[in-house]
Amino acid sequence: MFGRFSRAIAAGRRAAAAAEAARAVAAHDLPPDAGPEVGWALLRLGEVAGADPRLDAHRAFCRARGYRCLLLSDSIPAACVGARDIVFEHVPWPPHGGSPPAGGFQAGVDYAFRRLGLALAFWQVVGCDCDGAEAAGLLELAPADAHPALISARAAAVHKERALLESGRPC
Amino acid sequence: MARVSRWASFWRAFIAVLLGGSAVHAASQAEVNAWNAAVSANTTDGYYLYLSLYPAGDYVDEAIAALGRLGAVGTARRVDPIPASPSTPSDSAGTDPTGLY
Repeated sequence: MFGRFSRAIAAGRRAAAAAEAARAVAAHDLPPDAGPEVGWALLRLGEVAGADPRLDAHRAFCRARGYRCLLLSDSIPAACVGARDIVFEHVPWPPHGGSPPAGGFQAGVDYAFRRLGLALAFWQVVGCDCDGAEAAGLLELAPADAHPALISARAAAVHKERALLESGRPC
Repeated sequence: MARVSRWASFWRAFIAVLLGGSAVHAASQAEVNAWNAAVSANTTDGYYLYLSLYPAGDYVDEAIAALGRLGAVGTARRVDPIPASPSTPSDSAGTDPTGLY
């Protein structure tokens, strides 16, 4: 019982401190209902055959949170054709192209990130999830001036991977 | 007003943990730390990082509002829904010299 009280007091203190921090932000802000319409993106490279649970989960997440749903990929999945609740943006990815890009691989990577930056800025994306090893590999190549949603997605992926390793759970 | 809000947050979390134990969602200490770090830094990178780490976190709305204040995201941009069936342009024949579009 004493332990539960201690945990409750600690949780209350955390909530109060967080409310204080949130108010510090809100003091300079627009009212909540005047917030911008923002999007959340899923970055994927390569094609997915058959059912696509990851994309379904992404759509459900965006719908639940009120985000515009974006898919950034080098190939348009069948689920996106005719779908009204998802925006597809093409990401040119050199390894999947039929011929090497003009200027070599690095030029192709630079172009991919410029294209990503434009798409993320236009749709006002505030978060980006990464689907698959190839997308994670692309994020590894992100230049320092890449869109901050991409930089933070990479940092978050590293953070989560480290947390998994420290917890001893298999990836 | 600020004092009431802080105490309300305290009691809400206190009662939730007391009654519901871990079944009731409350921001973890790690999330609160990440949020406080983002607020302290007050940069777009900090808020983006918080959102990436806690996409369904308790302070998502505040983080997005902060990004709006910092100019990372602007005012709402209206995008018209995709029409049910593609419409045929009626006046393109006169403007396109190639006649292809």
